[in-house]
Amino acid sequence: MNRAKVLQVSLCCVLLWLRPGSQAVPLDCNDGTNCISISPEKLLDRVIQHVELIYRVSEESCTQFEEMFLLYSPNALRSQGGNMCHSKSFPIPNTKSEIQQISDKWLLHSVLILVQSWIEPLVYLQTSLERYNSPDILLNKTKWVSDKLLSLEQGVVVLIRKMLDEGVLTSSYNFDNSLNAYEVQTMDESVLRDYSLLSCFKKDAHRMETFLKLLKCRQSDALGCAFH
Amino acid sequence: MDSTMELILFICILFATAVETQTVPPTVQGLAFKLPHLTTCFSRELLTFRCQWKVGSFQNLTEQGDLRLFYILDKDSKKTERKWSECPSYSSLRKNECYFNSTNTVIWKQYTIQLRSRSLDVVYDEISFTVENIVFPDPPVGLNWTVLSMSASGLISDVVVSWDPPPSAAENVKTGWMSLVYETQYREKDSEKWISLNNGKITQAYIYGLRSNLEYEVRVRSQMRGYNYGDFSESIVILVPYKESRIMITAVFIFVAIGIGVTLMVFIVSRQQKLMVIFLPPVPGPKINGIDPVLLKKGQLIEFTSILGTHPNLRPELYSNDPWVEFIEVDFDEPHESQEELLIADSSVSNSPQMSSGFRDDDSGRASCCDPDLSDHDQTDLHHPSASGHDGFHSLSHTQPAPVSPQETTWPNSLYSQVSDITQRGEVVLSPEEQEIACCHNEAVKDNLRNKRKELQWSTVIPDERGYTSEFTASAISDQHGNPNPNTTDQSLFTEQCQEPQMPFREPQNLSTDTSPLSAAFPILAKPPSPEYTVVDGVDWKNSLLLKPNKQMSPQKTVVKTIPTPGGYLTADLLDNITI
Repeated sequence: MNRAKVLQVSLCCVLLWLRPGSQAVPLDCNDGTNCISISPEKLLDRVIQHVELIYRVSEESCTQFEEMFLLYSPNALRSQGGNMCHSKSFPIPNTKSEIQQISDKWLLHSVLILVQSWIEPLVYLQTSLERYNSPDILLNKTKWVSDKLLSLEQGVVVLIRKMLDEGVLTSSYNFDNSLNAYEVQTMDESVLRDYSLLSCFKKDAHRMETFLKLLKCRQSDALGCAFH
Repeated sequence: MDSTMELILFICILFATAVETQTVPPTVQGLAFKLPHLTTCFSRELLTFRCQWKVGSFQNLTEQGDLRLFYILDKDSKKTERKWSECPSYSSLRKNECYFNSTNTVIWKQYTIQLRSRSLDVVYDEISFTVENIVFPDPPVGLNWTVLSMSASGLISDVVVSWDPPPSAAENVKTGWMSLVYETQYREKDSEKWISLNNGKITQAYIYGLRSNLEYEVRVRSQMRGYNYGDFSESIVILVPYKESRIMITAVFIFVAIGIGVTLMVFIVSRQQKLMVIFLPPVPGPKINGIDPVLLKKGQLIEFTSILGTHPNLRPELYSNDPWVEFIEVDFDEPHESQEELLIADSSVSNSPQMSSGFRDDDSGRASCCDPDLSDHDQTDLHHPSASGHDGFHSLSHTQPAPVSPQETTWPNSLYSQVSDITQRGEVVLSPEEQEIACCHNEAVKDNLRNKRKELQWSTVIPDERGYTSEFTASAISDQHGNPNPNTTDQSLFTEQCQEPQMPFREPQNLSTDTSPLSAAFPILAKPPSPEYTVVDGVDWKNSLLLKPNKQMSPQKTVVKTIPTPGGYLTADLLDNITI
């Protein structure tokens, strides 16, 4: 059990490190061209703002979805909703102690994995919502979140490069195929599934925000943040 | 009958109470029979959480260990390997509580909690959650308020309320592990409704528009953004004291200012004239020695004329309103300069009298019945200037002796002759008296005179360029209209050829005294204001009048006794009586 886990982790690390270079990212100023480079601290602040905004919008979408579609049985859904979140193959810390123990590199990579894992499902969510005449407010919000997620991914990649001097692929490679299984469903089932997607996304957005804030605390005051 | 009714009533009551007592026990049983259940699971800081349950109606299960809590964590995707774990630590401080410490708390993963009996065979209750969904932060502590600002009247003020984050979550907030936002609520002491303010992460709240002397209640609660609200803190009371002195001072100040303003306005309005003089003094007018325009306005002509040097005694005569007393006047309105040039250049008459448009009297020296036509003699005289045209002056000067001499012969008895015309150069053409007899009786002569005169009109119009045309042309133009208007000024110069108006003129014929028609023609402005008439001998080569010497005195005598005369003219009889 443990060995498998260790193998998995090392394999992932190797995969990450062996990737040669990266795609051209417009935020790069390594060529020495006329662009003003941004400090890592400011970049981290911007990333945190992005994540905060994404989290807020997702939370609003969740509540709106509840009000519109799930007036009759919210409690039952909440109990079941957590189970349907797709899990990541990459181990992501979940306790504060774990998070405090892992390094900055792990934190950043965890964030990146989280972001990349949600790009495709959100697109799927958008199409599903359009299928059963969701209000425009909800559609606009989910659309906005998908767009912002892409720019967030870019920002985290640049952050990794600046802070860790590593190159990372921008395309997502942790693609979960489980979602494609739910192609044909009834209205109620699709509603339930969409709601679970939304709540799971909200949870992961919160996770991302927490990781990044911890990272920021570590950057500014290492002693105060390291110890609980 | 009454007794039976009472009995029936009693029975009914008994029955009803029995029924009621029967219905009561089931509810009591319902209340008593309640399963043990989980009441709440909560976290205060996203790091640890607790779960609490209640025993319910099973009073025999209150001992420790009778109820056990198990949980399972949905960590891995492999659901088959899920294992239930028992509560890591049952709380010692409180009963029926399970405490999960930070190592056992996994965020973003779903917990499933079960409440089981001791023997693990009965599951009384089960709930599922993720930890971030059960976060209920503690209320903030350390609420206090200060006055931010106060209005001028002291009635309304702004207040700042500040607090500290809850101590349990303070560390996490600082490290960024959880982000807390706050909500403030306030209300008046007696009202029911709370007013909410959401101001985010800041541990301060600004409340605007609080009234003085009113008690307000304020309370704050915290929330992990996007999740649940915590409990409200204890309310604090805000009371802004009412400062009366401030109102008094401001009111007094306002009243004083208004009073000053009003008095100023009254003062300015009442003293408007004086103030205008002080601030905007009038521009002093020009001071001219001599004529005072104020006197002119007032109509005090006595002073006015005295300035001009005329004899004061004769003034009322001149201004008398006798209709038949007419002024002899000469009209020199337009060509003042040219006329003076003519006079100076040709005749060099220095003592030419100042000419001005004096009193215009159109009927002077003339009766209304007769036409003021020219006499034949005048016509002949006027022919000469017409023939010569521009050089009329010289011709006239040459021909002067000719007309003069016959005049001399015809004038031995005429002590007074009227000026018939004045030429451009200022020469006076006189008309002999003989014409007067003939003209009135002879209509033909009249017509001739008229015709000749008309001819003359055309001829004498030419020398307009000299400048002096007003008199003659005016007469000519008036004659053209066919109506010899007796009101024109020129006709005053022509002889009256009727008998009657000659009366005043005849009378002076007997006089051998000098008559100066010229001086009479300028009653006001002639420097020698002699009332005496002087006979004009003729016109000398210089084109000046030759006057017969007055046997009595020089014609420049000015002293004359005021004798009441009809019309102001001195008759011969009166003149004899004058002793100078």
